[in-house]
Amino acid sequence: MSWVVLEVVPEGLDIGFKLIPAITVVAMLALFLGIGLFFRVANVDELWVAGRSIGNVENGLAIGANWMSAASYLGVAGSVALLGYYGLGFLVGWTVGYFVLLIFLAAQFRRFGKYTAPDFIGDRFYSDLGRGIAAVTTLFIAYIYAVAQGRGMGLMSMYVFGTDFQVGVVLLMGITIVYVALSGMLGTTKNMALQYIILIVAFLVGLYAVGWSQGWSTVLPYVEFGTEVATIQDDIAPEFVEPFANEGYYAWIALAFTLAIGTCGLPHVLVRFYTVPNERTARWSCVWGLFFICLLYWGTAAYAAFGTILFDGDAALEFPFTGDQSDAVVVLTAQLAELPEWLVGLVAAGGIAAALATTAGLFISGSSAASHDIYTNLYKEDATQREQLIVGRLTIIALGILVTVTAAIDVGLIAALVGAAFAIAANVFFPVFFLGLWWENTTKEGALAGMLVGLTVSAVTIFNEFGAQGFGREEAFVPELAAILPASASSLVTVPIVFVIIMAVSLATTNPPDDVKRMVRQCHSPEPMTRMQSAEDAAATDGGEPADD
Amino acid sequence: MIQRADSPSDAGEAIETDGGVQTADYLDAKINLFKPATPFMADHLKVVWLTFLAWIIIVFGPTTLAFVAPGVTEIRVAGAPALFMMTAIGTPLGALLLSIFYAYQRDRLDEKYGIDHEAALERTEETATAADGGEPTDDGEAAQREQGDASTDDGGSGADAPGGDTG
Repeated sequence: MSWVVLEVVPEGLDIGFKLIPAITVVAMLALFLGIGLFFRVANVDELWVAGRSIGNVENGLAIGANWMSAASYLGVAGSVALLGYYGLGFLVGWTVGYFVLLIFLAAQFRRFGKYTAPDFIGDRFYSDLGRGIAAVTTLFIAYIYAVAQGRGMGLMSMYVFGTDFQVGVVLLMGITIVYVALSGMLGTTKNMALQYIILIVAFLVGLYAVGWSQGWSTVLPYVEFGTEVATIQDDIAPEFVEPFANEGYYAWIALAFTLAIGTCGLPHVLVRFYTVPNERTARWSCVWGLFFICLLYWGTAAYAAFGTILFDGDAALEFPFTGDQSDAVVVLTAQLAELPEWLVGLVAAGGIAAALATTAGLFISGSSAASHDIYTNLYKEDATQREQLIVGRLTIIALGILVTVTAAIDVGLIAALVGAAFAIAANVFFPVFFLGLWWENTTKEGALAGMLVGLTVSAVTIFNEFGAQGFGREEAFVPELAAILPASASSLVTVPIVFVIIMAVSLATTNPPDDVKRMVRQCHSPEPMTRMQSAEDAAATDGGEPADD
Repeated sequence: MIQRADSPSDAGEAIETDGGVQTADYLDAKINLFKPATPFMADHLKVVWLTFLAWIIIVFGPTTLAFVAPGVTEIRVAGAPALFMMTAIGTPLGALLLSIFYAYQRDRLDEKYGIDHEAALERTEETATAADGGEPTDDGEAAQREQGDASTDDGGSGADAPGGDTG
């Protein structure tokens, strides 16, 4: 085994310890931990879904914060700066998916009323094995996704603390683990609303200041960077605007499709819909969530355009960007615009907040999968709440260490890594979620076959690309496979295949039991449900006498 | 289109009985994406499919256009490369507007079928587990006895029913 630890060098980024930015980060993290402790809970029911009492806008904010990881905050602008129009595939894929989630799944999931994605699989497909596969998949997604956050943390730490990349990863991952272990979901949700506000302010203050100081934009940089894009097309890099200069048509469509569909399969996104009181709130918080997400995403292309011009105009830097430079482009842009250090530091601190908030959500999904779905449901049915908490916390620590090590090795670009996590969600979860909710004849056998195929394809394609990078290779192990099934865009081919497999196997096997079918129907009924009721309860008590009169 | 009056879950009747619609109907009707079995599902799926079609065009349209007509990358609107801006800003905005449209339409469907989530929430918190029971004819008396207060309030002001205050 020869892991090659490549040095991460975002040349041009001002690396060194900076007092005020450091204080900003420390104060921010102290605030998060303080609120986390304030809302600390020891009750498992409250830990996982915040007692189902979170409202419309607040849940929208939490969806936004959960979403806005280092990939959104740093990676999207970075991929547009590095790959031009192809990079817009990330911007598009990571916003528009919420619409598909809204019309097909969000309210139905809320009506189903179970804690986690593995719970849904286990109950809908009456299968403990299915629950186990779903839990393993959840952990796999959390792992890949969090590795990308680690890369963002490492880069930001270089700017703020002047650490090495690796030291920065270890430092900030350590803080995340302590934080998640201490607070529960209720505290985290409160934090997430706060984290959204902090990071959107940090992101937009930087964008406005750059646009203003360079005379490029005034009140709405979102729509005012068009002439800068034209400048890039004419004078710097025509391929920035040319749709298929970096990757072909198939690659763009496959990427946007994968990310949009993956949105609908992500466990840590779905769990947000369990925290609302009813399905109407689930719908509207989905809309609010998308709005809050757009506020940031509209700015990513502007950052990329501004950053490209500043970068090109800097005598010391040589266009085009390297991968390391592009992943730091948001901070690099603010720095090259010669904004005051505290302001650049605020932008960097926002990047840390984004990475931390998302990692916290992922670790909670992962620990829930391990303690609730694997330990309790498969191994020890009578596990006490205390045991579940211990298993959950141990999982967070184990996952944290694994993520830290992989992130320190540095296996790929932020956006590409998170894209790969989305591909897992799309390949494994989306088909069983969608068919499970919309085709009542989907059977256990069909779901299991589909999930195993999706999981296998995802694992192979991810290892093919990121495994190769981990071993220091420039290219994928099998470049031909990566062209058809890119790790971050494998779903355009895989999802239809998995759909066909699930349907074929379902038709060949015995129909699901009637109570399962009624449960599916209950998910689509317009009839309001009570706050803590699940579809299972409603389907079971229906038609008879009122439960207890 | 199926008339509202034909629906067994007619809003007026439902509010008089237990403020909801008949659960049993929905639990006996098959879920089929292409062949909706209830008037509600037919109305709902019409919105779903129409907006989904619009979504496909918004998301994949601009890039596909560039594929079939490469010249579009040269088009500028107000000095800005139009295709780039449309994909970067227009597509997410389009998805957001579609989402608002869908959620609003879905609320209108609730209204059409006499469903009130806020009132239901307040009512069910008062009456605990019994509220979601079966059809009005079966448990009519019990449900009406239990939900008498809330139903009266529903008839008046809908979502603003003060039922929760008494709980």
